[in-house]
Amino acid sequence: MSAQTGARAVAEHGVSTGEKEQLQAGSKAQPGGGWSTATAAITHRELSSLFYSWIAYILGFLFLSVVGVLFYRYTLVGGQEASMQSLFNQIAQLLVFVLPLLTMKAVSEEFASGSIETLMTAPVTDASVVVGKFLGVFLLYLGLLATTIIHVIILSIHANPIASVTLTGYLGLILLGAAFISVGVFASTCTRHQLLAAVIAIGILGLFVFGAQFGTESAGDQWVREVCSYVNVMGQFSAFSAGKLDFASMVFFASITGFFLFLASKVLESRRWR
Amino acid sequence: MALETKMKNTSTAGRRFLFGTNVAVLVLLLVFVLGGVNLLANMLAWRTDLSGGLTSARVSERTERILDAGDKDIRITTVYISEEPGKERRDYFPKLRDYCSELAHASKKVKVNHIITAEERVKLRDRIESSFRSVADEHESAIELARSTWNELRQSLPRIAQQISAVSAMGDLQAETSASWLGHFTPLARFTPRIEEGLGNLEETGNEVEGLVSGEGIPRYQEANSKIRQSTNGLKGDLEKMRGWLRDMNGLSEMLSSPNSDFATKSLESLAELEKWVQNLEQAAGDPSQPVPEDPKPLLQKFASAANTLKGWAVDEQARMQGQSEATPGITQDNNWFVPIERETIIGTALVPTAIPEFLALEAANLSSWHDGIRQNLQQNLTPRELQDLAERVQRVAAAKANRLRAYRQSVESILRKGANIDEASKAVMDLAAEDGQFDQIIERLDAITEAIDDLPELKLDDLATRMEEENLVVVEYGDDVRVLKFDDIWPINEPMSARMSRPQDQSETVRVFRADAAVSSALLAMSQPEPFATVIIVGFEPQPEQQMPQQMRSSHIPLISMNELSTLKELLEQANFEIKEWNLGDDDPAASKPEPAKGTEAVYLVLPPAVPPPQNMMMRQQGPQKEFGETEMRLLRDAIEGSAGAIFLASWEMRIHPMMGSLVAEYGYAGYLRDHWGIEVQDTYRLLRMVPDANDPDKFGLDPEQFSHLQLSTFTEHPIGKPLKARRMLWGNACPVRELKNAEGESLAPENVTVQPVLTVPAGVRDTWAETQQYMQMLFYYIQTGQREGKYEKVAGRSLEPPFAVVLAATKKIEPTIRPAGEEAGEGEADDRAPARDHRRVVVLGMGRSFTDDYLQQRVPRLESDGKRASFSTDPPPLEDVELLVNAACWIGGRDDMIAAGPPDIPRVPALSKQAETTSLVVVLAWAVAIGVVGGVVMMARRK
Repeated sequence: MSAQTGARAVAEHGVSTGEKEQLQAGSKAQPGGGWSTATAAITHRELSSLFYSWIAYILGFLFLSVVGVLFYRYTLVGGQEASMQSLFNQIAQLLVFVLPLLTMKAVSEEFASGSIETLMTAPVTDASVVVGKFLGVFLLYLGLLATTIIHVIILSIHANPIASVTLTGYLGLILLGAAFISVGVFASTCTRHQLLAAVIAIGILGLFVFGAQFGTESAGDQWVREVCSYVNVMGQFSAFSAGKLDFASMVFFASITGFFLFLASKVLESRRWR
Repeated sequence: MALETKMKNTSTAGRRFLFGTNVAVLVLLLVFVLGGVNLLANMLAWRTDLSGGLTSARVSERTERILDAGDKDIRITTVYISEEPGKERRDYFPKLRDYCSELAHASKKVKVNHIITAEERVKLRDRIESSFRSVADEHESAIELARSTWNELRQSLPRIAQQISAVSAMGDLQAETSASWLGHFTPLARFTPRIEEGLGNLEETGNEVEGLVSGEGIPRYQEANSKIRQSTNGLKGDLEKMRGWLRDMNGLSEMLSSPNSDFATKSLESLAELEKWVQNLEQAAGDPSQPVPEDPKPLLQKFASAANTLKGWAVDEQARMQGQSEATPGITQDNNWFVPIERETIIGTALVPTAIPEFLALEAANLSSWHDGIRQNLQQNLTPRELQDLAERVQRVAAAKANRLRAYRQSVESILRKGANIDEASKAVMDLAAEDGQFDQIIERLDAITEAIDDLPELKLDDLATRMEEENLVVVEYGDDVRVLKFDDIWPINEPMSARMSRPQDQSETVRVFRADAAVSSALLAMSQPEPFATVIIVGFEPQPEQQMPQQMRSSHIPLISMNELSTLKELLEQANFEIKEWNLGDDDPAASKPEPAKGTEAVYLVLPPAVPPPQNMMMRQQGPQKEFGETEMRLLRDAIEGSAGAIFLASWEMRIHPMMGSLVAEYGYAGYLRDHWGIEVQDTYRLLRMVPDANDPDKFGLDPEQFSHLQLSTFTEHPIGKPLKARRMLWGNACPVRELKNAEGESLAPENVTVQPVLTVPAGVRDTWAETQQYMQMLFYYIQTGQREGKYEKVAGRSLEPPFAVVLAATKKIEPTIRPAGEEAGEGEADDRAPARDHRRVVVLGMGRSFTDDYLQQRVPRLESDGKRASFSTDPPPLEDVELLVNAACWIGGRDDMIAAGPPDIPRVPALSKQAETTSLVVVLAWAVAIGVVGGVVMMARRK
């Protein structure tokens, strides 16, 4: 199989025969490092798949357009606090809709194309598949995030934003993005339909963001508000956007990420015994 | 076969169950583990602030200190529920929530709660109320006492009113013999309505009190008790007046009813005498039905004599009746106390009831004038006809006088007759006012209410209740103490009045700034540090113009910094827990007007430059000598500083020569004192300047208008006063250098026990900042105005004061402890309210004193922006941070080094952008998005190929 044909096969049908061989070779040659090699291969494949798909660029264009307008409308306004805080908060809310669209095809496409069977027969663990898929989307997300540096540059030209606040804000967005992507990957393992996967992910994230926000501000009982306040992703993120490194919030995002990746691997694993 | 299939099915289901259970358990286990980890992370609460404090939701260093210093739990409860435009929760709550979260992270003592529902508000109200329970109980018992007393009065007072009303009804005001003696006195008729009105007031007040203490909000006990006191005092006042009147009437009745009383016997004697003199007058005038004798002179002489005798009686009687009316005022309210006489009124001649003393005085005057008139006429050579006419008139007058005086006699007889037969009902009413009678008992009960209210301790609940009525508020609880911060406290309006007035009508939103940190720290300070840190005594020398001098000749002294221009500074110092007092050395007796520091605190003097006398006006040579700051004032201040913790001297660049007025002042008023006692020199002839270096010539500089009015200088040293303020926006106006006196070898010339340290300096090597004298500054402005030398200032070595130099110096003097001598302790049981002993005294000299005036602290800071083509003008918030330096200095001098810190910082903001810059930015960000799309398109096309 030529490289060109292989790439098309990857894009259209998931795991190519060559890749399966690569996965098998990695698994045999490196007993200790097999897991990471397999994960890296899946990550690479997922990233390539996204890189060659139109959806990433359309999303990138739409995302940057909306962020640009928000930046112009709310951040680059005379008299406003010279920081990216408000823009970061808006980006975080925007990601509720953007990231599920990036993750929706991660696993569900494998189901739809049937390539999941090939993948399942390869000597890779379910966890490798899930983490590989996760990392693939995550790397693309980092690239997408990097494009927002232009807004920081423009703000720095006109004002003196505090660099450390910007850096912690980006760290927060990275952690938040990881959590959102893990939810998206989980949703993608639940169905063979990409759109449904996106809807499920948006639903779950909406609960974490808007539902929790609503609960925090409107719930009648104090304890409900406190629970909602804790699981409120935006609340946890606000510390980062305000220039703070909060260990508890880092743990929170890591927990969400780990939990949904675990769920995703278990859903994938369930195909073996259902 | 069938069995095999069944086995297989069972096995599949069993396997699913087994795996499913396994997964469920694993998920639960993971949830449990992650929950535990999150709980642990929250308990550890590791958090690092990398913002450098430059975000608005940050807890300031000062607040952190206050949190650390407090030893009680702090509870912050927010209630932000308003949907009103300009106060909406969605706009104003998120930042507050973030700040509260920061507070909770800043100290474990802080518990934050955001409440929304009505039930939660009720619970909050109950909690606040309970923290004032013991005092509230006392207020409640006072209210209860009023309730019970008023209830009893509602039973007893109507009975009294009824009794009075019956007596009043029996008294016929006009009848000679009324059924009730008391009833024919007019005031009695007003008693019943007054009592009913009083009862009505009690009813109304009772309802208001119920509304105040049993409504939805926090009970307003203080206001309720105030209303109770008002109503009670009103009723008590009425009852006291009634009692007084009834007691008067009782005295009158006793006097009238006794036939042997002085008044009765003398009156009867006097009336008998009156009849005699009246008859004498009538006889002297002759029978008016008979013709007048041809020679009327004897008749006239007899009449004059009789009139004179009668006048004498009238004078005596008037004095007696006047004395009686004063002794028993009640008698004047008897209808018979008035005698109708014909008098000229605006509607012609009319019968006017005239009080007896006045009637008698009029009669005496009239008789006297008749006597004198007849005598004069007889001495003149009148014709017989004229004398006859006079005699005829005399006869008519005599008859009229007799009638009037007999009417008077009837009146007095009537008073005596009625008073001799006082009815039982009247006596019963008068008994109500007797000693220990019903009136006394009621008044005593009412007194008990007002005394109970007067003895009540102060209760802050009412103020809290008013504040709690707002929809957006923050409740700060420190132990049992509570403060409620209103919306305007957290989000004060930050917009100059001029901007507010010129705001377009369609833009109704007010510009507010988030100052939660200042509000919360101030509230916490007030609760955690009930005693002020120190008493800051603002010392000025501002003699008042002589009042005796003519207005046009009065001219006031010219203060560089007026004591009246420091309201913002005072407010911020008070917020920082300092007591503020003022001392004007220009008073007539400054020694007597010297204020004492608040109990338990030391004085920190904030010394303003003394005002200088106005220059002598050449047009008014007679202008008197002007009071000048001299040795007397200096000695007073020196002694005061000797007995205090120290002083802050505010100096500033000072214009020495006024273009119009000539020389103003020779030297800074405290220059000598600071030189001799502290080794510090204020170089107030120099002004700090920061200029813009010319791109081509490094020795030429242009004026930077922003920096000229607001010089940004925060190069603080490691001295504790300024250290927390490093890298903060600190803007100064009209600053001058201050320096430590040194000899040629660089050794300090300060007294041996004094150490001088720089606090704020312009470091060596700074080229664009230096200090300049007035003469060269004028030159600079001349260049700018005329365009000479391209409007640039040329720096000439040796002429200007080049860095390094200090702008703020702090000095410490080692002293023997004098405030509390060593070994002297407070006696047993004696309140130890003296200031602590100290072995040093401190002064801080600030060369930017004029940066603390209202003018400077209330005005927004101008900002000029230029994108190379166009310049735009905007403003930044006023430089309130400047006061931090002064607060820190006062803390340092007052020995509260633990409270030296930086307050809420100023946040860097986006400047006003030109339309072009905005458009360019928008185009760039959108083009960037399009570029990503284009890259995608290229990739897709390449892939297709």
